[in-house]
Amino acid sequence: MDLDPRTPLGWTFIMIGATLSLFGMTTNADAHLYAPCLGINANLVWGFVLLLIGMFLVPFGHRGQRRREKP
Amino acid sequence: MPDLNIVDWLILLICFFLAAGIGFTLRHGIKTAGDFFQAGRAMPAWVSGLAFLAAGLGAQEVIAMGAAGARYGLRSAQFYIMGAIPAMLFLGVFMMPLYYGSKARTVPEFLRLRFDEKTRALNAIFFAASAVLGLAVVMYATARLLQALHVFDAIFLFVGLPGRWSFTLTIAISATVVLLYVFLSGLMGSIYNQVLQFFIFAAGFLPIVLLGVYKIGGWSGLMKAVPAAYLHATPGVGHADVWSMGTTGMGLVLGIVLGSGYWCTDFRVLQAAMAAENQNSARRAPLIAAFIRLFLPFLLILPGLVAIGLPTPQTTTMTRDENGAIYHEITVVPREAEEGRGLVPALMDPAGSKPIQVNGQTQLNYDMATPQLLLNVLPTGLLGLGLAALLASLMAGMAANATAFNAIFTCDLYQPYIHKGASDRHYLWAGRWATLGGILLSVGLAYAAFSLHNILETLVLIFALLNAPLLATVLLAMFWKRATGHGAFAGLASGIAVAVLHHGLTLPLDAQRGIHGGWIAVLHRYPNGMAQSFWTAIFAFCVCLAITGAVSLMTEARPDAELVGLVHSLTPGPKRIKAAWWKQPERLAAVILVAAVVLSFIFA
Repeated sequence: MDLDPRTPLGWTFIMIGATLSLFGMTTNADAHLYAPCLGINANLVWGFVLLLIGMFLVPFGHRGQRRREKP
Repeated sequence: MPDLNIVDWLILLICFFLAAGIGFTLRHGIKTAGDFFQAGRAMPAWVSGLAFLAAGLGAQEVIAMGAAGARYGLRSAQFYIMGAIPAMLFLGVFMMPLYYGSKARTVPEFLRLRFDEKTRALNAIFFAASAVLGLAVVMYATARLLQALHVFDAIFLFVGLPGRWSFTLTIAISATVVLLYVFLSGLMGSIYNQVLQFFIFAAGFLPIVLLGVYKIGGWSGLMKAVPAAYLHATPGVGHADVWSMGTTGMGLVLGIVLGSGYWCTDFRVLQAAMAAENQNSARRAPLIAAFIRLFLPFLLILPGLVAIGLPTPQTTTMTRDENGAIYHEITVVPREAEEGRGLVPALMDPAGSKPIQVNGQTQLNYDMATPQLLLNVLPTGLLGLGLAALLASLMAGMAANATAFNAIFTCDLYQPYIHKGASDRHYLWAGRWATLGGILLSVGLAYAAFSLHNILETLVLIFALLNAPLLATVLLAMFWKRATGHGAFAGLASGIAVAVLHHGLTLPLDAQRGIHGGWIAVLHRYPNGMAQSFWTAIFAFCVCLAITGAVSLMTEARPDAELVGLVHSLTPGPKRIKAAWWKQPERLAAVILVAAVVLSFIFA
């Protein structure tokens, strides 16, 4: 099976990162929500980091997959 | 009760959907028994390495290393690093060429090639039993953890069922997801999922650590919040009281024996490396895992330290005056949290009415250290990712046990002793049904595991009973050409017997007779379960070594020609390749060893 693990991994990070970032953006003013982490909007920050990692991984996964599929 | 909202559930669903989806996608590639049990021996080094590492990242590491961090402090890092890194390097440089080169599908099969059928059968029977037990313990840990976190309570409240059903629901969900991808795609599905689960684990745990350290006031805040002895990895080696693990400097040596036994002989982790695409990749897999493992104490042990250092929650009453009306706001904290230390709750009696006390001291439920920190520092959203990380690591451990069981049951018990000479397709399906049978058996055992308090000590005990004597057998098999089948069988059987006997005659100070030991008689008491397990391992290892040596010298050895490829001294070394240093196992191992020493000095 020629599935490069970076492809599903990248998409997972993109999906989770996008979900967290969007949620972070919509709840930016909610002080009660971010009280456990002393006011830091951790959803937005970490969501954005995961989104970037995912976008970085997917092209590498596709390239790896093409290499595997070559006869 | 944690405040899970739709975003948390969405993240959990993405992770579950992906785990099952990988199994479905890869099932088309599973055409032979070789594909199912050995992932077609086609995995690149980095995939095998990450799967090798993730296979050991089950309950015993994530929950228990957090527990060890809260209980023993940074000294747990010493056991974590020194008990594994040297062994992983040794495996990659010296042992993997023999495991991989022999083309054995499993460790018991290697013992058959090197020794004989009876040694293989003995090892296979005990290992299959330990894999089912290990799977049950991991499943039990998952269910108890989620039950204690009340993650599914909202669902049960909604449908009008009591919250205790969450134990059953958790077991059903985790067992079903793992069964699905292992049944469909065997070791390949397990390896791909372990890689994915490792990254989800890292993505979920890094914010816990960063926010936890930030909340406690940074590194300086942590140093003020916990006793000084908690922050040194090597506080006065040789003094039992200072260690508080109940072992002296010998503990280091014993830890290495235990760690080696696990990383060098346990098929649960070895199977990922043995599925690599070539010998060089197979050798580099444990080395890549060792390199990443150097940095894992930051993710695994630090949460326990932060949890014990944060303030203990207390029931509070706030009074406020609003337009002449007086309001009292009472925040009620459960008794186990109030009686605990930091965020680590007290260990309650079975009725849950009062904390368990030994010698006037309240016993703490250290296994809850990391999960409690997770609940206390992560906001909604990241909470879902944190829970997904916890579940991912536990499922990676479950899958490793499930694939190890199906391979050893089919290749080492079913094929040679129950149904010889069947078609390849028959054994492929036998492996699938073995997965189903093993998981169902483990579900039953998980319900019987309620009396276990400390997961790490239980698992260390299992490894002490089985892995320490097996390590002696495998070392003699690979590095002493004079070792014989009769010697190996006698040594292995004696080692296991001595380990069981030692466990039956000794007991930790704070434990009752039974599963924790002393079930024959109590001849000696150890300060704790860890010390008992350490000594069980060293006795088992030494007896196995001595008996194998003695019996081998009295029996006839196999001719050298038959041992080429199975014994190190009779096997030509791997060809040196011209490549970057990280692609050469010896050089990579040397760099990792230097890094481990440097890190040890930093923590000392």
